[in-house]
Amino acid sequence: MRKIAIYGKGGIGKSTTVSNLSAALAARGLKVMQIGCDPKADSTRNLTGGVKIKTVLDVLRDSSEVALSDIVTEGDLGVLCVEAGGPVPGVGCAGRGIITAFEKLNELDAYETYQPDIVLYDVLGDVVCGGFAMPIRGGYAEEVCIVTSGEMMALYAASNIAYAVKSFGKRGYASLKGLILNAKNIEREDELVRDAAKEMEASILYKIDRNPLVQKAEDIGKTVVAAFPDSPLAGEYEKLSRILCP
Amino acid sequence: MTEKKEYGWLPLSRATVRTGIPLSGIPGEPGRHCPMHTALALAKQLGDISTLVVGTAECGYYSRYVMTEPRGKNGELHYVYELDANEVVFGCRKGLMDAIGEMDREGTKLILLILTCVPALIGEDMKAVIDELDGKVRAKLFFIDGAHFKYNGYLTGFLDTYCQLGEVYNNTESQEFMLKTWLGQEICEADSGREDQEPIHKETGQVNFLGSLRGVEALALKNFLTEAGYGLLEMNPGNITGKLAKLWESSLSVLQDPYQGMLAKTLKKPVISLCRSFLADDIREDYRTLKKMLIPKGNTEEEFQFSSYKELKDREEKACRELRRIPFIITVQELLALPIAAYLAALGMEPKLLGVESFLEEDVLYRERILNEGYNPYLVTITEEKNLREWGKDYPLLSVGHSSAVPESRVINNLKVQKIFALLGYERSILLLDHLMELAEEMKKGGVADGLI
Repeated sequence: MRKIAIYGKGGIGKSTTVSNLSAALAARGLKVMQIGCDPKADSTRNLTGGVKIKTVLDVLRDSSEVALSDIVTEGDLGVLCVEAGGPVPGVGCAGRGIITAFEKLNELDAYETYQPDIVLYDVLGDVVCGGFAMPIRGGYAEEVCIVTSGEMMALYAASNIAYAVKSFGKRGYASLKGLILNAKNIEREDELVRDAAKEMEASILYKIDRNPLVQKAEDIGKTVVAAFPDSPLAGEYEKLSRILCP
Repeated sequence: MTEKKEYGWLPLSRATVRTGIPLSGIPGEPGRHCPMHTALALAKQLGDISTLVVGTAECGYYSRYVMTEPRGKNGELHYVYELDANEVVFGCRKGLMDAIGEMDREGTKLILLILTCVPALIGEDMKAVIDELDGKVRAKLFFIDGAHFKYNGYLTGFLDTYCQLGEVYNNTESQEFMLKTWLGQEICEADSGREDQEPIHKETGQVNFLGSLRGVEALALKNFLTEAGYGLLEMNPGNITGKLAKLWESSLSVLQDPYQGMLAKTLKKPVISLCRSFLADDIREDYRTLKKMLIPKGNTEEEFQFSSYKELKDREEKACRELRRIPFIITVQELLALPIAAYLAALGMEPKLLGVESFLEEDVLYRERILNEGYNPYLVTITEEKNLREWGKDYPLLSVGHSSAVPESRVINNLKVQKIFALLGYERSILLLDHLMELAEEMKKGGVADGLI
């Protein structure tokens, strides 16, 4: 079972990238579980027809008796979708929410029950507190990918995350696999990201060019891989899937 | 009878695994919500375990209710690591590792780290701390998650501490060996195919006895196994820490102390839960399974303790007559309350209320047995008894364990309960039934409790 955590600046295109990656892996015949680690709970929307699924924390709040079927939804192409969930902005503790959701998944033997070939953790924004490091702790993801663009704030966030991941090295946490460039077509983007990657001592795994098909697919609540399977962009995601999971 | 007041207690029929069990009333000081208390109490009882409570000043303060001295009688240390305001924000990893280093330099051999609410809330990764210190300190380290907002009660303090203590000496070689010979599973009444259990490879020649060997039957079991060529590793709370390294070498575990239940599962060896068997036929089946697994086929030894089996069968027959329809409550032995209730219900008694802290997976079988007998007792965590007294007025109850809701003349007091449950097998059930029939006899004669004097 491979487990990969994907981090990156908020709004950079993580969830889009991850859900398309999940779809591409599933289209190859792999059993995929995608776990959204964001209180917004929108990681898997493009796999579930644009509909938000019930989150682990919502279910826990409403009932102490939780079954896996309450929190795992089968989406497009058989991708198993889970959303950790969390509080609305301004209240509670989202990091604590992530820890609770992960503990519940463990308690219910989610991985042993579904036996996915690959688990993708889509983690929000920066690693802001202990809770958001949960996906890269021992027993969870073995590798981290960071989605970035050439924009300064995106690279700054990527560098911050890379630093945190490296500093966790002694704890046996996940290691940094590399960067996924989600291009915004800014000037000298490739060069900027190459330089930043060198500083972070990370490799650039793949570049995904900006493409209007992403928006078109999202408008109908689907991934590009599901909505436009024959498109060159779907082919790009398939190539990325082979880099991460040969 | 007038309509009973509702106390918000949980009928057994509505209990499932992880259902919260309501309290009987307001908990007294210092409450009974915190696993830290029982983890410390167990560490103190077992001896030779140093402890480090990781939490706030309040956790430190209340931990001293249990660990009244910073140094135990064998030199073990009982410290508190108090997070300051910065550490609540930035984490306490560095300071915690320094504190462990300090305890290690003092010569501690085994340290239990107890994670309390605040460090658990901020996601402090204790496993990573222990992994990072591996090879850097001489002391063996283990931790339990004692955050009461996750584990609201005393039980996990006991269960987890035993479990993690067993894990301390878990090494890959032992595990691989056991996986080759047997993939661990619990053998209980619910298991089908019990007759198909294959004999266990005898290379290790050791059986874990998780509990104390007390009473005639326990000693007979020890002799029986010794004569068959097996050593018995008794995990007696009075003398446990020196034997932990050998735990993983055994072929099988016999569980007599239910608090060691999670430890038994952790060891990944076949388990015979003798502690949950009360009915003569169930106990007999346990012994037969044990014998089948350990003694080579073709052995013509007579059945183990057959005379005791017959004696218990006779008692059960008598109990069916003398205890029929007598209502009872159980206020002690929380982990065994459902098996006891199922047993007594099978003999015709009526379980009315069971004092438990949680409803575990192991309890599902006994819930079904009790419900199938037509009974639906309340499950409640007994904290204070005002409500119990009011509720209990209308029933001529017997009580297993002290309760102010039941006249003393109808109670098997806590001291007697301790003596009963120190035994095992037929001997234990016989003593339990004898005490209950004695109480029933007194009840028939009447007295103050019945308003006849």
